[in-house]
Amino acid sequence: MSTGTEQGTGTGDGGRRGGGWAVPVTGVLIGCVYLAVFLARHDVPMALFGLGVMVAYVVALRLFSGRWETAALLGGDTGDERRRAIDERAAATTLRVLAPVLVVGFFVSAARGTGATTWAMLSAVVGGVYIVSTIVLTRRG
Amino acid sequence: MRALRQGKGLSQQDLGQALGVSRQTVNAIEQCRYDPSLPLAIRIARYFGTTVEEMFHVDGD
Repeated sequence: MSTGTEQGTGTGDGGRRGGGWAVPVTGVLIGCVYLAVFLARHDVPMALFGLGVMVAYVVALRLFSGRWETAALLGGDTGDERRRAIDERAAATTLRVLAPVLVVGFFVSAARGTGATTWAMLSAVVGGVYIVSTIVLTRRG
Repeated sequence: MRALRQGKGLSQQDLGQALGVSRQTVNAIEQCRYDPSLPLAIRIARYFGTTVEEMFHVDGD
């Protein structure tokens, strides 16, 4: 049995229930930025495609979040401790995949002599955030 | 937990609402696919008027 730190408050969750608006707004915002970037490059089809994909993604999450738990989670509904645990494990899995990819990408780019700076910066950000997070979380207990 | 819930005539949705968790979480606990945190286990036990030890068992005990 896991031992969470939450207190017995009756509802017992500090997560977001119902998904809120953070994920939909962020999704549409990314779509709008995508639109602006490609319109600036006079690439209208790609601009509309990018916005359309993001809007479709947000709408799909809203439509299916009631009956499909995965959609609810992707939509930001971390309303109870199990969903928060799934969210945290998914994030940790993503990091475990992403970190080696960034390091390998850096070495491959460095070996080819092509733009290793971006890989190095991304690797440094991931590594730095991980180190700082570990320090903070360790002190919090 | 399933037997106690059914004994009270509750659906998983009803119990989830009473405990402040999702229907899927109630189902996962009943299927032994998810171990609840200690606070949630205590809430579940209190809801059914029993103890955590009577509701949940560690494998091997």
